[in-house]
Amino acid sequence: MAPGLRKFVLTAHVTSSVGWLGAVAGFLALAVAGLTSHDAPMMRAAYLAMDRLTWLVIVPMNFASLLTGLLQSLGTTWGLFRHYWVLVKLLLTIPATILLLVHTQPMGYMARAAAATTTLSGADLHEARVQLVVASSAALLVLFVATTLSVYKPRGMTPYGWRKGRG
Amino acid sequence: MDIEKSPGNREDAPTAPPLLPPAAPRWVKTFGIVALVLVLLFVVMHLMGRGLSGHMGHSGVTTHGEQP
Repeated sequence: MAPGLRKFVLTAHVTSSVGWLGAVAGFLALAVAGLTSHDAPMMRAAYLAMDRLTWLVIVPMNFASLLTGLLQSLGTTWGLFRHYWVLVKLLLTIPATILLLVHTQPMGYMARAAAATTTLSGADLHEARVQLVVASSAALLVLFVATTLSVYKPRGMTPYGWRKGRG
Repeated sequence: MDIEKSPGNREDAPTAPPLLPPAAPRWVKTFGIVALVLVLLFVVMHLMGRGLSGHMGHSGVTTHGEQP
């Protein structure tokens, strides 16, 4: 990959990855507000905002991060399977993407419920509301670990990378 | 200091490259164990607890003009 293009893809990757983390942090704040608030308008606003945040920010940032990460690793000497830290990041990002898409379902139900009623009470959809807090907390932890791996780049080559290095 | 070169330290002796790849670093092993425990915990919680009902959206909300 040409140096200019590499820098561009790297900038896009860092921006989308950190943006993804920040958006999930915002989602968690709204999920906690929706779970703990006793104010019905506040709860409705939280779940409606979470739905927009999911589809307009989190999902696009997620795919942008995954795509630019693949380009960055395959287009440089880092490779996708040569270094453990790159491989671990990939193994974190793919399940996180799948889980995100799975959890858009309860998010959608919550948003539709919030939009359809003006009396969303604390007992309504309690399980789904707790699940949104737990899932976004887990996602935040995963993204924090991925960011830490990117910054520290801990040593260690995979057997595949070792063979490639010898050959 | 003049040291007689033995077969083991001759400069022209070929250095045998390692045949096996190095073992995975400790951080990778630790990470793998933690990840495995978390995945098992996740699976057990879903199997023993609520199942995947939270993904299916059992709505308990009553909207205006709608029967519960």
